[in-house]
Amino acid sequence: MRRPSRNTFGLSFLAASALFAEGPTAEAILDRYVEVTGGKAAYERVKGETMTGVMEMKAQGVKGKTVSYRGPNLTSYMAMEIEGAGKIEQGVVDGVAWEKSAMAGPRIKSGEERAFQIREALIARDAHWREAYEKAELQGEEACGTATCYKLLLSPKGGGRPEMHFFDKATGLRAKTTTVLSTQMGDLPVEMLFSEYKEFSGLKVPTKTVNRMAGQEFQMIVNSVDIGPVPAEKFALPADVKALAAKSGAKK
Amino acid sequence: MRPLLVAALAANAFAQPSKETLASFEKVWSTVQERYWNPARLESIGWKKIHDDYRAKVERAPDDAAASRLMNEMLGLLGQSHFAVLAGGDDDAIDLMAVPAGDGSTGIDPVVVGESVLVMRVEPNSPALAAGVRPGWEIAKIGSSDIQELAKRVMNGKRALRQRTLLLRALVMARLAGVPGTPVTAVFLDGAGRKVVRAVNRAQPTGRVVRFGHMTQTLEFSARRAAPDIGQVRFNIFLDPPGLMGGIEKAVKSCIGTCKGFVIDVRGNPGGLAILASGIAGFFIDEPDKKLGTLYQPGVTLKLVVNPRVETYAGPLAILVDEASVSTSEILAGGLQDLKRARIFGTRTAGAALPSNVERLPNGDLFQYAVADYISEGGQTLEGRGVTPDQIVEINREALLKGADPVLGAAIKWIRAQTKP
Repeated sequence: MRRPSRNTFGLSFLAASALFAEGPTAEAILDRYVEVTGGKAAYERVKGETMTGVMEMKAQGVKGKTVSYRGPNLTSYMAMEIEGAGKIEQGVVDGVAWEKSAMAGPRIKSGEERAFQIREALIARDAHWREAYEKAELQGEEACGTATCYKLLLSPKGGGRPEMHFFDKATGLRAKTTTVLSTQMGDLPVEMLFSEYKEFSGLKVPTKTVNRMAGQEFQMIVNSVDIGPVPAEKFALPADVKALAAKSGAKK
Repeated sequence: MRPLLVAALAANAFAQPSKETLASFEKVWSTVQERYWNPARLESIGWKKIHDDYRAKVERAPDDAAASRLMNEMLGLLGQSHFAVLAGGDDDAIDLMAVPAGDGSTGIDPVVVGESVLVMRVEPNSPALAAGVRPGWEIAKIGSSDIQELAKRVMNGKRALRQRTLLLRALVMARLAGVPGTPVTAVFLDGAGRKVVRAVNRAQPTGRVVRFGHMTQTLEFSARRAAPDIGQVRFNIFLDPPGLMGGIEKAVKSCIGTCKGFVIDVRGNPGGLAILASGIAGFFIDEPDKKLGTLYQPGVTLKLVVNPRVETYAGPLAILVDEASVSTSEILAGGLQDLKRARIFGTRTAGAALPSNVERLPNGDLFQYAVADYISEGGQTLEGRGVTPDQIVEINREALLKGADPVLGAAIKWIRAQTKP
């Protein structure tokens, strides 16, 4: 076979650049995700979010039940009841991001960790991503599983760790997110693989998320999603967290 | 040649490990290859060549048990704790697993002193107490098992002293345990060297059976006053966070403002969930951002941060350890020692302080593998070294026979000295 000449390479590069230039913008990819998962109107109907499911670390034989709530004004609560390890809870209310577990006790989060948790509390975030992120940039394409994905770099407002989101070119659905989580224990690279999208109240939700971090793998399965309002008491600080917040003068 | 012999030889020639065991071998090797935190060390010991050598040996192994032994031999080349296939191993490990399973308890807590196994403690309300078993007695026989002979063999083996001690204690405990309601007859030597035979019916464990992933254990937790003004907790495993931490919290709270000191007894405690060490430390440390140490994984560094509780105990804290204090026990003791928050009493700990996972292999065996290196806050690795107590106190038979606990006694004496005007 004849080797391609330098000119051919040049032409290929120009052709690829032209194609890339004509590709969708980051905004268009994010808008398409909203569209294929239910449309802006469906997201606007979300007044609250109650999600139940299960978590499992198959290799270690660890499993548990999960429940999470999101409400207006950046309020959230999540609990994982793990067999043999007890309950792990975290939440955001009035600007206080907290965590509590039977293993390590209660604590108030600060810095990047707090900012991340508050960002995660934003209801219908995909339709309102501009409230959480400074900018979105298309970084090219990459194979993700058997599909090809657009790679979008989302930079949080306030300078948090950027997140790389991968959207399936064919379906428009989010297939993967990678980022570095800032945790109390240190920086933790994390990869989340989303699949098995199912419709709940007019919105498509990935019901299976495989999380990989620190060499461990666990999966979260969503069993139900309700988008009705969530009673305010679901977000109330537990008594010991409240006492700790008062003691440490945590941001209210 | 006789036909039977030929048949036996032929059977041996064609005997081989199952395909599940071969798959298990690959899983064991590749897990280490992928998860070991120091690739340079794997390179230096020739881990890839080790694969080829041991794969050939495993393929030629006469049966699955022999293949499992080879896997443990291969893991032994890493020279670190918390790497084991929990179904094979050496003869003693197999022996340990061959003892009839059951969580029925006699209430005898053994301790290895020299080449003898002594009764260190007899649990309150236990069958052993009812049968008149006394601390300080030497355990000579359990059922048909000659403990004196076992002790000689294990204690004169090739392992490091602390590993021998740990193994012997485990072997004795396995012989004492069994199905609840079943009897066990033990022969003891009392303080005067006289043979004493006692038949004990194993009772249901007094603790809670707890399960986390593939681990199932009975949590024995006790909270009491070591003296009227000194709190004490003792527990045999770091599992069941709601139960264990709830018990510790209650004990600590009852001591705030009333106790001159507090004692945590982790003698004989093999560890469990590493994060519980930080959780427990939070009851005794009031300053934020303190750490018990750091875990190093490939590409990830994780700090064992202590979260101060809403109410903490600020008085003198003593931690009791021995050679059978392993893993999370060592992280708790070593971490609080480095932070100068606790004084450690007893004998040097096991030196097996690596956090690990336990997974099931394709052939059904369990595989324990360390996932990180652990460096204490003082910059020391505890692996292979253990925690050296601030005050070394050996258990001795005379004290046990008098009903005394010299390690606890030393801790109480120190606490009293801290609170003198």
